[in-house]
Amino acid sequence: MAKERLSRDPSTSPGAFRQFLHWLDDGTDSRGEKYLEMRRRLVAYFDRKNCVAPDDLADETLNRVARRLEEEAGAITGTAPAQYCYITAKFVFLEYLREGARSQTSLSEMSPGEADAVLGAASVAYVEVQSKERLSACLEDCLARLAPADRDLILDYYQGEQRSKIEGRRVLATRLHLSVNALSIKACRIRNKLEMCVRERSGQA
Amino acid sequence: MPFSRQQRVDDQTLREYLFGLLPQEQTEQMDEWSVADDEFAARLDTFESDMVDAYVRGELSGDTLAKFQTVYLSSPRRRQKVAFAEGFYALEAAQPAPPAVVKGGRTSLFGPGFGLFALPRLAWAGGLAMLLAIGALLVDNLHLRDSMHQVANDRAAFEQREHDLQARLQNEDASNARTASELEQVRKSLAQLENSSAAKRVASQLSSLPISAVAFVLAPQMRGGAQMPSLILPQGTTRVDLRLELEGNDFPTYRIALKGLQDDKVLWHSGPLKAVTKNESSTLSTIMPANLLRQQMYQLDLTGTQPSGQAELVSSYVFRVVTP
Repeated sequence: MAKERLSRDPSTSPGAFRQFLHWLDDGTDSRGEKYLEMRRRLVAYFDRKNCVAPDDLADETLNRVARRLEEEAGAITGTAPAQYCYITAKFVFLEYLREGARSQTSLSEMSPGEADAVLGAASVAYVEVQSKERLSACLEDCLARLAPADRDLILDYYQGEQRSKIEGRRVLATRLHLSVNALSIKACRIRNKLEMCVRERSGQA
Repeated sequence: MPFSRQQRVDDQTLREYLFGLLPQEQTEQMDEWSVADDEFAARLDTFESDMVDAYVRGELSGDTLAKFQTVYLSSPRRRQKVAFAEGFYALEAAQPAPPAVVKGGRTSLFGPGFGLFALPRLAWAGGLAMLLAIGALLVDNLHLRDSMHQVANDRAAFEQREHDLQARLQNEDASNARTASELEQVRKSLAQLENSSAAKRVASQLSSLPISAVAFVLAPQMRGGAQMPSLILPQGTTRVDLRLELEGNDFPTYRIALKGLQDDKVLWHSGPLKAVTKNESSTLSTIMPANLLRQQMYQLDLTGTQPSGQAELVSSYVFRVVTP
């Protein structure tokens, strides 16, 4: 799933983009997973700041970091990659706040997601039902694409209710030789992957 | 006061952070960790997912529920998270049995080769999705509720028996075939019970889904006293899709606060909103929870926020709520 979502800014050369992925990995080879995780965190950050288009701002942040890294010949010293991404995101957010022109954008010029964000309006009931049907279909598809071990884990992790669920998770953690805390983090990562996949397939990303 | 990194951030603080209730300094600290600190980012993720799940399962209440509805659900992306959790919960509800674990090895109901059985398992989810669409017809069915109560009791009894047998197996010799066989039988009964109740549980969840909205447009208040606008709230309305028409658009962001006209107490406020300008007229739109409103008069105070952060009262809109 990771390969599908790696998108390069056209102004960044393939070599510079590879260099950027390598720098984010900080010495390991995550096959783009670190990039995707950082993008997801940035989108969530901008979303919590109530920005109109958090995905665009996250991409803008990552593109700026990639360009900066290219200028610095592949090495930004003194600051860890994730920390540097946050500092850049903060600047992007401050610029966003100053950019009053955005408020003048008419609804018809916006993408459906942006318009919805500005309106702050949830879809009406029949749209919600349609979305649920589409979401369910996408969810099935994305579950089928997960690695079998991840699929088993996520389905088992969320099985049961209250007491039986807690007990089920304890048993699952023991079986996988993980602490309950480590299991919950692992399950959450798989859930995030699944969620990103569903967003992509339902055209909501 | 900023947090120290060594100090574990408790659930209440995480909740306040997600609802935008923390002071700026603490918010910035957590913003930073949410992007740059792997451990904190994972914890925040897990907490947020659990909170969304709790909402979907109807486990939130009081102020947390109110904040979730008014603040958390104001973002389309976060509403997508809720929709995802609803879909996932429906899928989970269709699982015929909890993971079957016996001493000495794991026996999943679908076996190690999930792929071979994926289609029937996922077809269940598809069937339940259709139930989601038509399930509203079942919501008020009293008989169904009685049946659900009975099913819940049966399930609790089976689960307790399963737990006891599991404990006995762990304490005794693994070759105790009789206990293992009884455990298997209890699990089969649980699976049958789950099969028969899964669809009902999904239908029951529908009753808690907010689906009823009323649109309400307010024009700027004119001097000379035009008639006070009325908001008619039919029974069962869960949210008001509010649109304010502005006299001008002089601020990058705005906030709306709802007050009772008599006691001037703030009952709700929006997050930062951007005005939309079209054909020389500007409007602000947001969602207001309907459960705050009673049959009385209210005032909406519109505040504009300068880029410097300074806030200024722009206008007030007075209206009356009518409950037929």
